[in-house]
Amino acid sequence: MSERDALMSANADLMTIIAHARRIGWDTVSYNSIQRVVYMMKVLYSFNHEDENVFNLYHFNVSLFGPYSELVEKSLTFLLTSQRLLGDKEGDVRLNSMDGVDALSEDKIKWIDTILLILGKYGESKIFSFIVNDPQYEQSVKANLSSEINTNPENDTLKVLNDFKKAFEETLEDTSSISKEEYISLYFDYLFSQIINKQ
Amino acid sequence: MKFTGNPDFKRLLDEKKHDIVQRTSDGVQETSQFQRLRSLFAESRRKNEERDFRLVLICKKDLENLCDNAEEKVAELFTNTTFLTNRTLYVNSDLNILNNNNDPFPADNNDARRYFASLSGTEDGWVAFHIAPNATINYFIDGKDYGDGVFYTMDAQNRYEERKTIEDLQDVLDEYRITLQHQNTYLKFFVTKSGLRALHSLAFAEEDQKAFMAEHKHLLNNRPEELFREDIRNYIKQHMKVVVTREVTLENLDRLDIELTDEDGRDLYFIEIKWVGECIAANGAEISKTHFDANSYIQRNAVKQVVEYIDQLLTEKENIKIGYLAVFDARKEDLPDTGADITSADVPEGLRKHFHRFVKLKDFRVKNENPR
Repeated sequence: MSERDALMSANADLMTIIAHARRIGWDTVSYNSIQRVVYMMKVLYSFNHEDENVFNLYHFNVSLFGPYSELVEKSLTFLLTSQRLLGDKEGDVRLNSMDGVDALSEDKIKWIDTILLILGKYGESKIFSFIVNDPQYEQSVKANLSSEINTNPENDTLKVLNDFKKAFEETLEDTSSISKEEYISLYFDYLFSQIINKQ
Repeated sequence: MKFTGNPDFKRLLDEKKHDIVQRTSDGVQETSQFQRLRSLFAESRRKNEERDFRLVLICKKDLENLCDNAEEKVAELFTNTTFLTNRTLYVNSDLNILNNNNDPFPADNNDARRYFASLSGTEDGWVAFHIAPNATINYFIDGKDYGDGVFYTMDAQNRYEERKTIEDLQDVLDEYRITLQHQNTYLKFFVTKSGLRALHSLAFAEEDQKAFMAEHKHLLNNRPEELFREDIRNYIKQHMKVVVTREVTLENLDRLDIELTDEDGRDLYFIEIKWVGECIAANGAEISKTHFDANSYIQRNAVKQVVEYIDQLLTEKENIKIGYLAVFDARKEDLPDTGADITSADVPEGLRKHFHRFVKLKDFRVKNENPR
């Protein structure tokens, strides 16, 4: 994919994410949250998708404030400059146009909604805590990796999530009612319990 | 994090299995409409602060047909006079108020939950959302109470939401100073009586043992900086709504002892930990003394280090707010604060522009009042 195509694709992703975030009451979303949400969408994607990760165009590195993708940053700059988004001095952006919103595959839109609805239960302010408790991110910080965070289908987050699912399957008699999305939701429920109870 | 082969987690799942099945198969909670409305109620409460609780009921059929512009309708609902003046509201798929009353909720928490559950247990199939001032949402479906998560309780969430924020750091640290006076807190820092006896027989056998032990009860365990760092770090984590990480590496490979960010990870603070006093050497047979005492010349190095970190973080374009210097004072005598005379002159001229971001916290005094 050419640099230009990647930017155009990222623009549509970000416009859709910000538009759908508004549907759960997040009128504005911070720069950092956008980076973190796209990271979550990428790192968790292969848990319930067999196809190639549709967020593969993003490459993340560790920063003090969570995962950082240059493409997300470039796209945000582009969208702000073209006034499709409006920004404020706090680093929050809001939608100023519907241009590019939902100009994605149905599957991708569904996945964006899935992750946003799970995060919506806890609110935007909790995303950072989820990120620092994310196994793959934690591993990258511990290893002090300046290289790209491994978000391929063998990443640590998916290993932990698959192990989580397996524990359910081994313990409960019937897990047929639990969809992949619900496993992710239950996993976040568990992570949240760790954040609020022990830290 | 390992779940398979973890007996505690298996037990937890066994206890929660009924709950898990209900949550994933009741035809309501897993729908996007339900999840969206729950988020919208929470976000609207955050934007429209209030001290009162609200109960909003919507029937399952209307929830299924939730209007497409629900974010606008919920925003309107939360500023509607009827909403503001009534505790209980029944709404339809367009979030229009169908019915309302201002009857008080039962005062007892358990009675209230039973009452809300009963409202959702009727044939009409009402889903009840109980919205708390802190934006936590308790909900009731088919007469069942879903306040708690599968793995956490609403009480735990409420306690977490009530924790102090980063702006209150100094207040929390003042409370921490008080806990340092508790024996069960300070004992972990100091060499035990048996350790002192061993040290005496190994290296100071010619001295009177009783006098030696009294004279050296202030002796810290080896590598006390790690003990102090972990203790203060854990205290902050347990008492504040912040994200705490440790020993973050800067681009120039310097390490921050404790890095703190506010809950949503926007603003950065760090704490550099130092200590003054004496500790037992790694071989357990000698005493090491810090060169770091009340002498302001020595103090300058620590101040300079913190301000250099601030400079480095600003160079890395990080949103650094404050760099704190925390000194644990385990000196034998009660001496003045190690930072009593710090001024911007202690910092090299090129770094003075950052001095306003530097805060020397009042010393954290640790005394082994009652050794064990």
